Amino acid sequence: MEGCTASAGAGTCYVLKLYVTGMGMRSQRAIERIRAVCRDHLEGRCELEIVDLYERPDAAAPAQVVAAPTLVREAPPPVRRLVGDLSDHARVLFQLDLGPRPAERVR
Amino acid sequence: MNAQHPGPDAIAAMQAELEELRETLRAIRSGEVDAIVVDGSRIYTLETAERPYRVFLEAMQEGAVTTGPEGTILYCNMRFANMLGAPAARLLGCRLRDLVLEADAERVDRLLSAGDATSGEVRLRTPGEPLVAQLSVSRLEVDGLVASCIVVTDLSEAKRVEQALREAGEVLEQRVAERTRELSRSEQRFRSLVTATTAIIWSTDAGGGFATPQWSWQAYTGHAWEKHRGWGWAEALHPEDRDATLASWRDSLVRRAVYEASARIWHGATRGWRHCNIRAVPVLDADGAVREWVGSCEDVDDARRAEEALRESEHRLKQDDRRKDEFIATLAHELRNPLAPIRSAAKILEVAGAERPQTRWAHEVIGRQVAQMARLLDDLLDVSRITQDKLELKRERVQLADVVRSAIETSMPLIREQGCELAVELPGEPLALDADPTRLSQILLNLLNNAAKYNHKGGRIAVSARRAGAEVEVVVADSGIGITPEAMPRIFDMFAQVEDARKRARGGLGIGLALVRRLAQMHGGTVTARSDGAERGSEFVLRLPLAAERAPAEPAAARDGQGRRETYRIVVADDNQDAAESLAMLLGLEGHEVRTVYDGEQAVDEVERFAPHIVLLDIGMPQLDGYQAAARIRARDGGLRPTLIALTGWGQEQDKQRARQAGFDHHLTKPVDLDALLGALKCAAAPVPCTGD
Repeated sequence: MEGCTASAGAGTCYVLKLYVTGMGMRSQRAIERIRAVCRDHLEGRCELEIVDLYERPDAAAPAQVVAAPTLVREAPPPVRRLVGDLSDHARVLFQLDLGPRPAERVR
Repeated sequence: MNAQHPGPDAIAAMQAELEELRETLRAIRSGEVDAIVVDGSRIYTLETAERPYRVFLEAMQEGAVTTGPEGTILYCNMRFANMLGAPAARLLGCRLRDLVLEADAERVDRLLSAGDATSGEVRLRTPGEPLVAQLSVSRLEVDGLVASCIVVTDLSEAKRVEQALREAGEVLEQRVAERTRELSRSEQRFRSLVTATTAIIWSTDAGGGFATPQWSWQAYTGHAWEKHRGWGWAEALHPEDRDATLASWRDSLVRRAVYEASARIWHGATRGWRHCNIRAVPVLDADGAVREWVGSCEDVDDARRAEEALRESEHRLKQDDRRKDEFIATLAHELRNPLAPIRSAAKILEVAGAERPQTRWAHEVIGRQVAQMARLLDDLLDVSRITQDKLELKRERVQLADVVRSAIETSMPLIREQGCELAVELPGEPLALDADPTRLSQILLNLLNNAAKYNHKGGRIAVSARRAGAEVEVVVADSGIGITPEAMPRIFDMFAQVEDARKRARGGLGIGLALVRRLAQMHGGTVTARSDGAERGSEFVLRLPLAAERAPAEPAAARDGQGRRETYRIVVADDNQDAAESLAMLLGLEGHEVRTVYDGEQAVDEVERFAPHIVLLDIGMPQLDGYQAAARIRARDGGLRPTLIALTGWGQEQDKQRARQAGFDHHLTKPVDLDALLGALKCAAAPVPCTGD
């Protein structure tokens, strides 16, 4: 879990929580991806906690998590939830106010 | 509906939330999730998310089994199937308890029904040998149903290793047992070896006393613990050895030096003191302090007594030897006494009956035989003197030529008797030696006599002398029976003689050459022999150092034949009547007036009465011996001081000293040589006393 360091400068400190289920493939992928984002964009100002719902199933309800993996942006507000393996990079950045709103996906 | 419309922020928030929900639904529907949370805390995992777990289960070394409530197998991995030697499909639905040996089935039941995290060992049925496995059980509850997740670990390898270890352990134990046996055997051997030579093994504390009962000490001395505890051991030491031993022990304690001592220790069994050698070493702690002393006592009594006995017998032998030498000396000396009167009588015969041929023959025979006997006795005496180291040399400056001539003269009769030819070659230059003329002559005489004795009739004898550097070399060569190589090494040995029938007839004691060698050595010279073998003659080479050069013209004390022919009044005192009378007769023939007495008292009285010029006193007389008589005579000296001449068988320097001290002027050894006597008489009357001895 990275922490916000004083040397990060004037940037705001992000508090993120990633809810996963053990060794699930998507959970693993999500973990990798969020770690990359923190490293590339939020160096020194990212507090990331990985919560394994297999170990702590009770953590889901209070955070209003309905599926795993779910990335919860706790700070800075607003609180946002992003479900999935975070492979949609543009969307992740947008949710973290680090990028523009991506075009609507056609499904 | 509220009259107030939601503000733009609220609308944005609602929009965001909506979007989020839509996104979430989309993600779930498109299977982008691993699991869904139901009822707040139940996690339902999608099938595909399980795969890593599956792989894990299949890949691991252990067998994995999931069983339902009755112990039926719901799932098992490949490893487990391999262990049982059956395909996994066949195992599904079986009861786990049926897959183990009958004896272990109950254990399986217990494990499955016991609490979480239990384990036990069972034997799985296989087509081959039963497989020993460890079952580790974890309980699982799903919707009220109890299931077990079991990890099955193959113990066969471990068992094999365990077995191998056990076997190796057994082999090791065997080897250790064997080694221990060997060790105890050698220890026994060592012990018996030690006890064979060592009587006692003991140990004391650092203070030097026995701190614990010493069984070995007790066994030897018979002293119980009460007696030998502490320093009580000193009681077992011989009183004469105690102080020294204690002092030495105390010294060793202080210096922490190896202790070695010898003392007599009481031996209880034989009730006696026995000699022992004691030795002890300190045993040190890690910090260098003495922890105890460890020592041994070696019983050397037998060896010591044997040694003492040996020394004693050696001493006795030496004493016997000495006594023998003294006996021989005394014997020779005593045997000489009768010779003196015999010689005198012979001399008288010569003078008195010169015309009658029988008388002449008689006198010559007696003279020769007496001379021979005297020579034998002299040799004997010399031998005893050599062995007693009492031989003395009277050195003076002599000419080699004189000595050689004198020896030849004496040897001539024998040479002529043997019918040998003699050739003499002497150097023209005078060669002076610092030697005892009598002894030198004796050497040459001996060699000449041998040359004649060990020769054939008509054999040749050659005597030659020459200067060789700082030495003079005299060679006596003969053409006689020679010396064999076997005999050569021993010819100069005392009592060695040539084994020869002819030789035996020639007489002799076999001491000649030993004397010759000794005398030569005493003069700083050597004598060597050479021979080409039997019947090839022999050669004896005498080498002597030349006397240092000196300014010439110092004539030796001359005994010139010229002298006044005086007549003296002479008293002869000797308890041997024959000796006294024959001497008196001789002197009478010379024209002197002689009185004879037979003991010291008479001598003193006669001197007073007769007032002689000269008194001849035998030393060994009864009543008053010669020394005492001389002392008395000197004490009573009136005016006419008579010349006192001592006659004695002892010619040693100390005898002469004693004679001089007693008041004698001269000293003659018996048998008295007439010329010497006459020479002494001449000296007696000389105005300046001369050293005629």
